[in-house]
Amino acid sequence: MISNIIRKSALKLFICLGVPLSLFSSSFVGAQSADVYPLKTALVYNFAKFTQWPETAVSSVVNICYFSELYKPSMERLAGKKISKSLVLVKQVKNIDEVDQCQLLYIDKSQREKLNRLFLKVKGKPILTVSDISGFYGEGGMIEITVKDNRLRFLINLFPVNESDMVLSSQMLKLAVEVKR
Amino acid sequence: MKNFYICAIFSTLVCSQVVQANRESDSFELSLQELLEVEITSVSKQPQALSKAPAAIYVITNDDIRRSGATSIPQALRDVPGLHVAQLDSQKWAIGSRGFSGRYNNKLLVMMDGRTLYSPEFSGVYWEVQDTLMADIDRIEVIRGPGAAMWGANAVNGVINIITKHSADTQGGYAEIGAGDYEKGFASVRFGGKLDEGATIRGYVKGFKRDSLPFNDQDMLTLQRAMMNGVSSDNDWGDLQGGGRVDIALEGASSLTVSTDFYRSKLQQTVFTPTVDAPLYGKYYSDEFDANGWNLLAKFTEALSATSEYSIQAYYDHARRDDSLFGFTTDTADIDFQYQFKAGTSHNIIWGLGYRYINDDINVAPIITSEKSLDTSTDLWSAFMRDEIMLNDSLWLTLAARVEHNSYTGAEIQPNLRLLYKIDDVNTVWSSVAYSVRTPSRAENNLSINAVNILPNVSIAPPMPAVPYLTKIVVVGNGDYASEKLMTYEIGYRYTPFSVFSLDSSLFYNNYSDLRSVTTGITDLSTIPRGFITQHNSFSNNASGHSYGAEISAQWLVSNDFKMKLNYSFFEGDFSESLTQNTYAPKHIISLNADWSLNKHVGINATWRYTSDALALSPFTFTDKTIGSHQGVDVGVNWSPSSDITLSWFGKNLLGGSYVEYEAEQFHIPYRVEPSFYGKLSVSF
Repeated sequence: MISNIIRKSALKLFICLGVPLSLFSSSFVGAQSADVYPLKTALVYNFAKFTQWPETAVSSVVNICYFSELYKPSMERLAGKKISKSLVLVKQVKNIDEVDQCQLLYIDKSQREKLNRLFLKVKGKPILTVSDISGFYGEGGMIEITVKDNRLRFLINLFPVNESDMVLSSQMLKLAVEVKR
Repeated sequence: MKNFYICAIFSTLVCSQVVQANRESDSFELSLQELLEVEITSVSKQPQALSKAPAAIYVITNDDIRRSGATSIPQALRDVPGLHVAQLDSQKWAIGSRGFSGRYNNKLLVMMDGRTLYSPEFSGVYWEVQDTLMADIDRIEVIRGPGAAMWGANAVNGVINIITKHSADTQGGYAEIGAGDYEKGFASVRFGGKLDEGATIRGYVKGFKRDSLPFNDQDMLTLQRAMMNGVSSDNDWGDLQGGGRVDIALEGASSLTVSTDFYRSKLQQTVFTPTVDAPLYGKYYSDEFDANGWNLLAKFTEALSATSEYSIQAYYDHARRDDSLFGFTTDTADIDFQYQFKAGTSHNIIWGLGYRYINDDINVAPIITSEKSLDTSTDLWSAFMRDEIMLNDSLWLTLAARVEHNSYTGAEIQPNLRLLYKIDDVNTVWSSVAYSVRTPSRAENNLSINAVNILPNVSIAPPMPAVPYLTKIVVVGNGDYASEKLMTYEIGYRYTPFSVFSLDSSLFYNNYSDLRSVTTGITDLSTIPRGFITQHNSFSNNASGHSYGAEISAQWLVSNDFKMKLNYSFFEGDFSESLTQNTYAPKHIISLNADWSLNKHVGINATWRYTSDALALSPFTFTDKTIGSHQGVDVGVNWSPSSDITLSWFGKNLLGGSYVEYEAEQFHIPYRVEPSFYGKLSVSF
């Protein structure tokens, strides 16, 4: 009986607090600030724009792959966009052996334990690796996304990029915080 | 009315879904340069993705810990569905998963970064000495139900994995300082740096003093009050701890992690010992003692291909407790090998081998005698294998088994079968059947314990007649004492209708056999000239029982800056009478958490929780006593004037008054939990 009352009042509280807040709180984000997931996704999309893959890997599509569920909503929105004449395809991957068809692979920080296998897999392959895992570009990754003063920054390691015969535009290199050549 | 609520929920969900969509669209139109100028909103909350595993899993994130202001691991575990977390005194906690809550809960395995925190001599966890810098915890994964096939014996009712951050994620400096009433004062500092390209390090030091919880002698039996007579109930304590971690990315797709911790605590407690002195035949006394320890762990991982990887982990753990009731030194050395690979297109296989050596020396124990040396060692060998089979796009079957050989009961095999069916993107169901064991503790196997004496002319168990002498009860360890066994049946259901709302639920049925009981043995009259008779009883496996229950966890991202979480656990059980351990969890545990970011500087976190009546073993009477239901509110306010500085205020157990949350078995006295608060300043540099 008592527990029934408590359950009911918990539900009421859940709703009574939730409904007004969701309707009246300042939900709409101004142009000057944005959520971190879509923002990082947009950054990944821009990296793809500034990358030239070797001829063997060029086709009429650019495959952007990502791992985590957290990025699913924002990544899915990239599908169908165009990069010059190529169509962007987006694929969520779960295992390292599924990345063969990817031109760009985004691995987020919840996936750190996959790094050893990833580096072994992509070595020498024209797959642009991007991550927000701290230390990524020092450990063998290509582009690391970091946050400084609440703004996104990125670092580039050109060794694996050159090894895989990819070319990053000088415009992008200029905007990087650090470029390892 | 009911319809109104349903309608309100639905429309709000749809509304928040639209909000979610809106805020994600525009950043794709920005140029690279423009993107780097956009400020990341610190107010917005993210939904936590539900686990894909066929098990009842709940994850506490670093962010959860920070916002709730938990200053210890037990505090962080409050509100996890299926767990009963209760504070016994300033230091001690009773934490149980799906029942079997208590100071001496032997059915829950706890690990930190792969190192077991389970103490073999009393089969339980000394929560007071399991600590680290809370800000460096990446997450705590709580698996309710058996994890034995993967993690080993004693993971019968659950596994708690505490995982600390990679040292690359703790670069730079961090310091915090704070004080309140229960938290008399604390300070921590951590510094992280780079050793080389791909090699990072961090080190930390922390210290705290915590005040006694209040004691009220009305919470005890008349007999206990007489024994307590004027003895100090102080239970305050202090701790100094430090440690560090190094992570190195090595050539050839491999990596190495080395970590260490050391601690020194000074604790005060009030404990009981039985005596042969009239008229009370027992006494409480106040005991001040030290506990200290250190550990060193190394883990090497190497990838052999995109789908295969092995790791070798070794650690050493030293713990010493100069408790005058039960003082011991334990040294543990452990080595584990694991190999995971993909076979064909549908098998994900992981197998491993392990060996653990434990040396355990009881230094002081007035109530313990043993025919064997008080300094003994045991070996544990283990092998396990798990195959995760993808039957088709939506159906996964997991087969797992672990074989272990321990010094007391020999070989134990613990199999587990799990099935997961992803109905569609919104609905997932899973089910599990598992057999697991809880292996004997040293006390059950070869120690004799005099935990209580029965007063003259009192019959405690009706078949036994009352005698005009004091009866000294000695429970004798039994070399033939077997493992406790459990068959578990679980089903779970996950529902994610919108990205902003999710529901995770599970039902379980546990069938226990060979549970610990005490069998009456020989009565020794030879001590009558000394004024008492000695009754020798021994540990046996004649108890059994079953329990069932449900857990629900719902989370709802009401708007960008407001998140709510509702956790509920239901428990029902039926066990043999006069069990020698706490078996029942409270029937209902509910918690409701709201987390609100007012603006980019201020966040408020509030939790209301209710715990219904609980049954706990009552000292001296050999029966269960009821601990009353209680509720309370925790509130936390975090104010960050800049991104590097946060000022926080936390109130704990507010509005609930003063109450006994739970009681430790036999040797300790009940303490009360009361409202408390503290303030904290944390700085990153």
